[in-house]
Amino acid sequence: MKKISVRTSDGQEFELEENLAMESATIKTSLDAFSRDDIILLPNVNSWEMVKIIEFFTKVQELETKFGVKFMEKKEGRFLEAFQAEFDKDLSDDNLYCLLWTVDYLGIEVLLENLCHLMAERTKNKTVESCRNLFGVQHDYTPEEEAEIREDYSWAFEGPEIEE
Amino acid sequence: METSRSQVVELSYTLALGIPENILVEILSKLPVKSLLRFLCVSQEWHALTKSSYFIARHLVHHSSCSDQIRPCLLFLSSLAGNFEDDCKPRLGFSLLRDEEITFLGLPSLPNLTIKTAALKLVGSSNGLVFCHVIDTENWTSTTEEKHDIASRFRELLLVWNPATQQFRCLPEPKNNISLEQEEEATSVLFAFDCVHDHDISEYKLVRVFSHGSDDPTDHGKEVTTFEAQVFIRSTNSWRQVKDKLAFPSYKSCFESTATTLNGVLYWKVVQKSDECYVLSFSLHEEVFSIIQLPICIRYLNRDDYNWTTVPLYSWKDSPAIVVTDYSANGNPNIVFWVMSTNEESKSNTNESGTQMRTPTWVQQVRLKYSVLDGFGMIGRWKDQFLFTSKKTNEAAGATDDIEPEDLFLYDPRSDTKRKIVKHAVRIKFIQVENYVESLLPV
Repeated sequence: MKKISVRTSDGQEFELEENLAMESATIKTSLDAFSRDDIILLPNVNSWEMVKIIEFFTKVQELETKFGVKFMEKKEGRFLEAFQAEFDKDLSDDNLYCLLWTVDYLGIEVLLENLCHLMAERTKNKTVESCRNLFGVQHDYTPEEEAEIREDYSWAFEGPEIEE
Repeated sequence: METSRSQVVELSYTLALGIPENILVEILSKLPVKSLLRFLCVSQEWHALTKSSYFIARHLVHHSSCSDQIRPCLLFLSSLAGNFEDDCKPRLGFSLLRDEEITFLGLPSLPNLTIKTAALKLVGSSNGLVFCHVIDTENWTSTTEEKHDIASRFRELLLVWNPATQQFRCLPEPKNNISLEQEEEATSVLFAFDCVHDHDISEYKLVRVFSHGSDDPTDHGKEVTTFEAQVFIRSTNSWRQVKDKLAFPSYKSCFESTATTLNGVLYWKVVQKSDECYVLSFSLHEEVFSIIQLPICIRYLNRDDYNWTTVPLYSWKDSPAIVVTDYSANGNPNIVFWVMSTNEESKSNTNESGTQMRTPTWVQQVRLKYSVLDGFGMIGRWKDQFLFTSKKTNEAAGATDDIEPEDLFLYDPRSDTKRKIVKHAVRIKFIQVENYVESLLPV
């Protein structure tokens, strides 16, 4: 199996198996344009993110062998649960946010779908303020406007599941 | 994992760029409605995004496909129990089964509604919208001053409600286009509802079908009964009379509680004076009536056949199915599902009044030994499985007001397996069921 070399923004080099590297639409485009022997430069990808992505690919292969299904082609519910359990552990909200951005840049669809799902799980019980912080959103409502929305849907702001 | 300096630098860079909209949509569309309503005040951009019909559609698609998996999300009309709050004040509403837990969804408070005498019927649910029909048996009369206020002068109230956003709307009453004499006789009223989202995800259509004596002034023997319909479309906010009518000869009675809407077509059972049975239909999209003939072996009503008059038409892969009881050679009863084939080859012709008369093929899809479901009450279907409650314990209730806890089962006729999905639902007696999905659709 041919190996593809990539170099991340902080100068680290990684080797990926060709079939896995091709899951990234961005890498695939680069490979089509240039020779396969060249190192592909990924200035928007950090090395820790690359580590995570390789971890993901390894996990997928493991699960494909275990369940006998091609996860890249189908979206399997069981995979989602197994994946989330692994990935959720060490990833802070901010790290998840960065990873999401990078995976979108690399165009790895299946991983993106799963990360969006993870992000949604983390977001759903957040307060408005922590949501703004997480996504880096500007607060552009006047206090009166915001108060009006809060009043219209006051029940949506209450509940034991909402994190402080 | 600690955030190193390079990661911090990268984070502020990424935050400054902002999250790509396609990803934001992907993430937000997986959130429950309650979170999305709260996040309306995150920013004006988020507000505009989550209120857009593009987003509402994506959110609905995601949540619909989730509920396609093994755990049903169902709305129940239940009697008594569950309608009481802790202080024992009765409330109208539905029970929601989701993730194998039951919660009570109370209807928004409607002015001048006497709950004790109000009857609630679940017309249907589609794309997160729930249609209810509330009849207040006490408030028959109204004074002239109150006439302008729809909600205060109702005998019946049509309500469209989105339980997730808690928005609701009382629909205006339809006007009957028939003579006063006919109006007094007008009995059977049926409702059906469907979303007609060819262009606009939030567009829906409600139809009201009713019957009355013949329009023909020479028909004193009331040989012919006419079925008519009116439709209400969200965007026009008004009722419109439907051109097509159905003149049904020798009509004896119709069984409103058997009506079912499938794929935008309303089906209901009728019987003639000669005890010959038919299924009538009204297509919401084409706005035409049809008379559907039944296979000979089930065409004639057996006076003792309780199934015909009360059991609703079920569905089998989106086709209407009739449940009958028949007997094997050894005298054992069986439950049989006759399913109508909806392929193009089914014959149809038009009778003298211009109504389409269809003679489709009916197929016996399922044949169960009655004993399999003995002691269970069938209340509806979910996908191709059937929902049952365990009736056995209720017989023990006797004369007391106590409602025995019921279990809810799913039965799959293809594999002959039963699965308990709710154990001991306390103080809930399930009557009617609809599939439900949470959505942001406006009412």
